[in-house]
Amino acid sequence: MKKGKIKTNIRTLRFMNSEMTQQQLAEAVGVSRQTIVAIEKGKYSPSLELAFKIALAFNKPIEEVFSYEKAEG
Amino acid sequence: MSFQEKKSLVYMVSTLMLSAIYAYYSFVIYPDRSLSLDTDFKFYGLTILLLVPAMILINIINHIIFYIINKIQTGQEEMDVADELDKSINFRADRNAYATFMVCFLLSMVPLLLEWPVYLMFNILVLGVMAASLVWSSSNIYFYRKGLV
Repeated sequence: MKKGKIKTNIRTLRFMNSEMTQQQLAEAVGVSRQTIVAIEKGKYSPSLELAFKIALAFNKPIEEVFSYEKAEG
Repeated sequence: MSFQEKKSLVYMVSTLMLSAIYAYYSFVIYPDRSLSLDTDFKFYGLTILLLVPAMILINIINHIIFYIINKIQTGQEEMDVADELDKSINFRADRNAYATFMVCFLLSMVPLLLEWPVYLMFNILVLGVMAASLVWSSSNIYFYRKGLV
């Protein structure tokens, strides 16, 4: 069974939040900048807790920050 | 290269340095060991007990040097706190290192079975520790680059 993909629009949200830097977001949610980079690039799917923290940092519901894309086939 | 990747690289360099020290100690300083079992066991007992503090010391020195160089290069102090991504990657690296050591441990039983000299068993065991350590650092670098999807 093919794995689906978690998509994120953190980059857009950062831009809309006074061009928040990756470092600022990382500090706000308590992870390293490397982790934010990995999430933005789609190289890492965050835990549910971290996903909620990121959504809270932007004052948005989680579904506006992350979405799940089903695998084709 | 990210801070975590550099840190794994430093760990890898420490392991290679320790392997070189071990090879020098074992094959250059004491190449003509007696074949008696008692002497071999004493020699390897001492060697392995010395390897542990040597590994810790080399790692500490290398990491201090790395932190100083990194601070000079980037101008910022990196927080050395493991978050969930670091923990997940370390978990996978631990798994790979454990598998590597287990393979070497099983291989080290072959000389005992075939009644070969006991130093072969110890050398394979030490090699197993070094190989596991190298696999740990390279796994870390690999997963930081590839990601965990």
